[in-house]
Order: sequence, then C-alpha cells, then structure tokens
Amino acid sequence: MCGEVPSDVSQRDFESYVAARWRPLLRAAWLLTGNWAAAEDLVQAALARVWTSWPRVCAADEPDAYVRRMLTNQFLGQQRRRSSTELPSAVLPDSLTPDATVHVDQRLALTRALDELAPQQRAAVVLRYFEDLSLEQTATALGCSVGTAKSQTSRALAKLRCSVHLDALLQEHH
Amino acid sequence: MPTDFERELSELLHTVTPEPPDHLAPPRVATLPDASPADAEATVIELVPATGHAPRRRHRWSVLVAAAAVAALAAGVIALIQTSNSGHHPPGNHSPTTTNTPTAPLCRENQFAMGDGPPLARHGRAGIAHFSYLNSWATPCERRAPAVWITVAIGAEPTGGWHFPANAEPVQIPGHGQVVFTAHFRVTGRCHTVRDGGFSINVKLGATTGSWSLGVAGCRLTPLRVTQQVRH
Repeated sequence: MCGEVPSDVSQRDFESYVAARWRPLLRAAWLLTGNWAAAEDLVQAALARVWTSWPRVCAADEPDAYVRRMLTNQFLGQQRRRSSTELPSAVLPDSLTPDATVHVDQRLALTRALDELAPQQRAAVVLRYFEDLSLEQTATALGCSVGTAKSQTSRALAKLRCSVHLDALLQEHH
Repeated sequence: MPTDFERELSELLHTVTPEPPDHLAPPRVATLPDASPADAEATVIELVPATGHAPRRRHRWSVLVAAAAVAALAAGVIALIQTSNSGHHPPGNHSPTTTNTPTAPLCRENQFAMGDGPPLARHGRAGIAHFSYLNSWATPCERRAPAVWITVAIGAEPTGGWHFPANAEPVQIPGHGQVVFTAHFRVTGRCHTVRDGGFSINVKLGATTGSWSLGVAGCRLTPLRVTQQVRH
C-alpha cells in the first residue's frame, strides 16, 4: 500500500496512520513533556518529519518503531535546543481550559517525578514502561546501544525509587 | 524479569497517563502540500532574505526580525484579505528581456489570477502559508525576478517587514499552471482568528503585485524563508 512513489494514496495511508496512532503518540508525548500543549507540538513535529519519509516508514517492518524513534529524537533534540531557541512571549494568548479529569493530583505527581529525570532517562522510562518495549527496542528508539539504554533505565529507576512524588503516588495506588 | 517496582511503575504509567482531551484532534500535517514528499521531486527555489554578506546579514536579520516581531505583536493581527493590483498594465508595456528558454513569451500582466489566500498552517512552532499566482491562459509564459515582501502593518500603515529579493532565474509558468510561494514562519504563542489587521504578504511578480494577509492574532510570527515552485 505504500509504494515507492508518494501519491494521493500514500497520503491517505498517512492520514489513516495518524488518525489511528495520534492518541497513543500523544499520551507518550505527554509523559515526555508533562503537558498537552508541548505534547501536541512534539507529536506534530515528529509526524511532520515522518511524512517527509513516509514511503520508507510505511514500507518498514515496524512503522511504529520508526515513528517512536522520530518522536524520541525530536524530544531529545528539543531538550538540547530549548535553551537557545525558545522565545518566551510576554503575551500569553492561550486561554486556560479547566482540566475535566478527576486525577489531577496523580498526574501532577507523576509528571513531577518524571521531571526529576534527565531527558534521555525520561525517554527510556516512557519507552520501557509505557510503550512496553524491550531493552533492544528501547535502544533502537533512543538511537543508542543496548548497554546505554540499560544504564539510562537503571539510573532512571534509581532516581524514581527516591522520588517523594512517585512514592506518594505508589502508596496511594496500592 | 521485571522487579516489583518496575511492574508498579509500568502500571502507574498506564493508569495515570490521561487520554488526550478531545480538542487535541489529529494535526493537518498530512494535507499540507508543502510537507509532501512528492514535492521533494519538484524544483524548489529558495528566496533568501535581502541584505548584504552572510555574517553581517545574520546580524541585521536578527535585528529586523526582532523589530518586526515586536511590531507584529503590537499590530496583533493577521487578517485574511485578498487584493490584487494585477491586470492594470497594458500588454505592450513590457520591456524586452533576455531569456534562457526562448519558447515561452513574456507573461502579460492580465493573464495572472491570484490563488486562494493562505490560512496559516502550523506544525508546532513551524508555520507555513501558501500563496500562488495562476496563469489563467492556456499558453505558457515566462516571468523574471519574482520578489516577495512580508510586511507588518497596523491597519493600512506598514510598520516593518522583510524583503526576499528577486530570484535571478526567470520563472516559466505553464499554461494554466501556477507559481506557488511558500512562506515559512516561526510561530510563538497560540494564534486565534481575526478578521481585520495587518500582517500581510506582498508578492511582486514583474509588474503584478498581490497582497495576502493571514487571519490570525495573538501569536508572534517570524518569517524565515520563502520558497517558490512552479506547478502544472
């Protein structure tokens, strides 16, 4: 269905893929960024890059793995560039929307615990324990060796074990 | 084997991570012709910002960007307006000009029609607006030196802007084809739609000038580059 030559058909394939995977990608991006606005930006930026390589992605054995890698790269790249490229605006045009959910405290605790991690550690945790990837798949998504993925995950777990936010959350969860 | 802590963490991530709110609909990335891989095959000519040599240009560019971005914020609006001054020049008014492709005559001013105005499409912090000139005749023709101005205005009063100077190569436009310009912006903040105001894109194609404006406000737009393509 992908074809080597991009076409209207492949565009429709892409649109279908985005429609199907948008919400799971957004949830993973929320874990990486901690808020919906940044998560949306992250997923959009990653998908824009996916689109430019769509015939290759679509023809891959695991398109999801490819997309996950682009999402992770985008996230890690943004973390590296953020200090030099982000321009805070004096005007805040966004209007606040009430969180209609009832688990705000839990989510806040979770994002605070994740905020304590370095970007690569955070990405490793999301890939391993939210996306449920193996160490090998995590290493592929992170673009590093299995050993590095393992050490990043271990360090992240060590930090999370000491996190007061996560500790409270786990106790509440039991 | 995962430890208890890993299992609990995994369960927590799955249960606490919220579902995206309904208003976060899938993006429009798939429908943007600019992002289409098919376009990678087409010839894209990039018009660079006007100014001098590279090191100095960068400095002056940043100053211009800052000044005009402030002006854009002050203006606060980017409205969707279409005006055109095209078609008011007599056909015989063209000066003779050399061309690399002698088969196509010079375009007449009254054979252009402006394409649809560009809604600003946004991918995260990247914004794109397309605007085009259609060759309404069946015969191909050639245009020299298209140039683009992106201006900021409060009402009708221009307050600053950017000039992307003319491409040196002549542009051949097939019969019923079009020249599509794509302006790439950096977008900061969340845009909302407004009807009037003034962040406009002016394109001068020979003696034809078109002006488009984008109907958004509340965000800061910084033009980065303009590309042009000819489509059949």
